Amino acid sequence: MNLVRLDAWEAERLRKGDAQAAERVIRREYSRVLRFLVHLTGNLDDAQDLGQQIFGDLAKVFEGYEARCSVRTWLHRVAYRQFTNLRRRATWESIDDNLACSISSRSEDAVVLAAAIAALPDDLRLPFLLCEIQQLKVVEAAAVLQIPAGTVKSRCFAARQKLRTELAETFGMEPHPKPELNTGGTQ
Amino acid sequence: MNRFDRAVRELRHESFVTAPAQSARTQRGQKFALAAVMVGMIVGPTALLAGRRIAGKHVQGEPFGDYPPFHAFIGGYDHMNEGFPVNAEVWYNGSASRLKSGGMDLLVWIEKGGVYRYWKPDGILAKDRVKWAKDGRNVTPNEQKTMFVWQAPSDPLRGKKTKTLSPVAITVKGSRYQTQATYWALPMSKEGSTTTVEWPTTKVVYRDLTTKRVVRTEYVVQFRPGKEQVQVNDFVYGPIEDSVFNAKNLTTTIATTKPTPLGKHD
Repeated sequence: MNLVRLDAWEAERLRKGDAQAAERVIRREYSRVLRFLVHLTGNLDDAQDLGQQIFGDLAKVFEGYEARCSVRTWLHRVAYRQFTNLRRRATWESIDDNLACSISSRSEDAVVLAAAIAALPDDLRLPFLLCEIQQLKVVEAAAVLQIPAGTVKSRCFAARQKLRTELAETFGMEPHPKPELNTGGTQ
Repeated sequence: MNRFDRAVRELRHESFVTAPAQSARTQRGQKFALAAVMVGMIVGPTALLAGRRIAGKHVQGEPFGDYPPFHAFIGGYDHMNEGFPVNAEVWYNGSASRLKSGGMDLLVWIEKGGVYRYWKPDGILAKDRVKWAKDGRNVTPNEQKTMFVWQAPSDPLRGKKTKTLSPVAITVKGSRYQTQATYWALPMSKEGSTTTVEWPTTKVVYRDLTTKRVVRTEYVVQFRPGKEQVQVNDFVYGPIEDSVFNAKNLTTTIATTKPTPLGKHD
């Protein structure tokens, strides 16, 4: 069974409310998706709440699943959609300083980098997060953001370049970019 | 590998699943880290997720029935900045008299679909307060004092049997700080006179109303190591500030995600 068919089979199980499939997906994907949500929202509480909404009702989440992408990509797409819905609410505001607090076990460099990523404009931040931090393939990130793969690639490169330039002094390095995008594979 | 790439790699492998444990710089954080591991082993992710989901749905205003038998616990601070720790405890369905005998003069409101309901400690719905809530009038300082200034009893309260436990969110809002506790219980069973409930958990969020920032988050997870279910009757509650307050080694309070800036009382 190839990967796409396996994902389609798993999504079908989830749609039918298979508890074992749900547990398998939670164990495999929850941590990763939560990390994405933490970076998106800037605080752990909102991220956890969104994570619960997504993983708490996987049957509903996978109702509209298209077998063209993997389960992981679909979950990231749903997470991103949930975040945009949250952001639209008038009462919501990002609490970036909570992020640093939530992740106090990080090294100082990681905290600095996380803050720099958070300060990027969305069009650079999201491709960078998906490709570099979440380690999705370019085509997967494109599917999450609903933009062309080429755009994802160029924005990710630009984000990396910008980050390196900004952090060159802090990290004591040359500000030249070193693209290492994972472009292989199709879905 | 340069520092930038090392930092990227670190972010790639970061896990937030047991995130409160990551405040393990403090002693309480370390305790939580241990407890989180224990709970994770016993409960597993599905159970934790299910509990939070129920709670989240309620917070969004999903009705949970009129006059639900419930109990909930809030540990908090003086919302009027007067300086003493405050604990609010709400019991219903047979346990309210315990609160009364503890000398508590406390009123809290229960958020239900955006409508506040007020309860007296004896468990009777205070109709005047309901009307008052619908009027949308703000709480006066005296009323606030009546509601919030209450010292935790020195003896922990023993839980009484309840028929059912429903997810419920309780909000205590003061002039500056808001405390919201979300309590939920996973599916239960009843055997004879004993009601059991799986891993009831309370999440308490303290929010600074001025900055709208969450200044503190705490979790209370009750469990009996080695068993999949705990009995409501076995619960022993205590001040939430205690990292571990288990008189019978049955109940554990865990977690604090960051030091609270609530002043001199932490």
